[in-house]
Amino acid sequence: MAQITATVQSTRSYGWGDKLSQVLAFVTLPLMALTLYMTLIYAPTDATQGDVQRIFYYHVPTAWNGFLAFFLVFVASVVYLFKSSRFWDALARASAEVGLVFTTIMIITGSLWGKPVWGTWWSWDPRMTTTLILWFIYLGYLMLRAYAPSKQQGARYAAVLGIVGFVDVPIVYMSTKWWRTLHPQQVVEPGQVSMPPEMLQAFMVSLLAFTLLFIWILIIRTRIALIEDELEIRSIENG
Amino acid sequence: MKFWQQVLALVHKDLVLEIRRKEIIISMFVFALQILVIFNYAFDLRVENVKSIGPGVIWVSIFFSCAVNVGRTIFLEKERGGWEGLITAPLELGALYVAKLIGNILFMLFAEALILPMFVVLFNLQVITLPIITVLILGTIGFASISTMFAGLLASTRAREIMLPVLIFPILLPVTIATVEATANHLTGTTAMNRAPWTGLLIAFDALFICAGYILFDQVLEE
Repeated sequence: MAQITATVQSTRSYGWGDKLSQVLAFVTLPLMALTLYMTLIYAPTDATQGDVQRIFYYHVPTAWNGFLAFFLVFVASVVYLFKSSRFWDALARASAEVGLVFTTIMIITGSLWGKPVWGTWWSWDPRMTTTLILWFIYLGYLMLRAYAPSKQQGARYAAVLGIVGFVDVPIVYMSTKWWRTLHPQQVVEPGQVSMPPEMLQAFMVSLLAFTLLFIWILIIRTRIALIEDELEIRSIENG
Repeated sequence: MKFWQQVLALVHKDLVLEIRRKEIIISMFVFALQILVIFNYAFDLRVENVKSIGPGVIWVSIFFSCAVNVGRTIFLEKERGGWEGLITAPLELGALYVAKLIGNILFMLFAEALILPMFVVLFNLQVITLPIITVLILGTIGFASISTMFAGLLASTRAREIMLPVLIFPILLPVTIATVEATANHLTGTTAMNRAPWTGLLIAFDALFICAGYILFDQVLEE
């Protein structure tokens, strides 16, 4: 216990994260509440889809943040392979985890939305397939870290997968798109129709709230990852 | 030794090993053959539907059996301590990647050369034609480029035998789609109008991931 306290003390050097996450908490939490109001009450009900269209305000922001997270994994992985600094590894690890959670929410909300609108939970449209493949790659990414013989090796392996997986995404998208041209196309594209201003406002607030939420969680998770590393190093040093 | 001399020496070593023990190619072939038989019952393949389902059946059987066996060129060495020797030897690690890649491509092609005639016999569908063989070779190179890199990466991790398919199948999705669709196009004689550039996609995939493997392999093996 004393050791843990000492570690947490020493990680005060990551104080930037502490300050920033406090600020983010003060901004994000009210903004989340505002998002609830804007998306569920303020925004008008969609004429054709009805209330189910409100999933859009949650589906698209989580999607955007999921992709942002995986892009960050890619960037952090490249930097880690060049610099081998623990921070970039912690950032990649945190981003992959948070990204996987956001992507899972995106897939579930998309599925819930697809059933009433398209009449099916799932269609193998290029974006959905690419997202599912991304989800699998980053699930494998976390498994790979868990199974690695040591943290350093796991970090290195994961960085390679983080790069290869990201490079693969455009090819996956192209191949599923071409595959799709031979099969029936989805006619209704959600969100393609021009929105009334209230809907757009609600969407922008939700997008901002989810992005800040993502950054907030990412900072906390990165700090936890750094503290975990520190603990491990100390426990090795102390035998 | 020069780069290609190193590669040749390593490939030669792997080939000699495989000729003596015949483990990898035989298990690839038997596994693929069993999947063919299982698919026959799972899908009730008949003359009317074999052309539409056949391409998927042949590629899934090849990909599954290779995914299970392809890592063993590296895992078997790891088990017997030869892998550490190779890493510490005065070799370019890029040469080690290229050699393992060539070895895996050769083993896979050999197993495929055995399984394709069996497919023709069992499903009465002629797939041994020049366009399909071309697709087969390109698909095999793409498959091997990814799986060789990840086998090297997984050599010292736990549960490596199951992690290899888990990691490579999502990444290989474009190869799976391209090979199945290109084969189906050649079988049904779809007009060039409806044909996506699958061969181009396979060539791009192969080139990209051979380069990635070559560049990243020393990162993977750095202890």
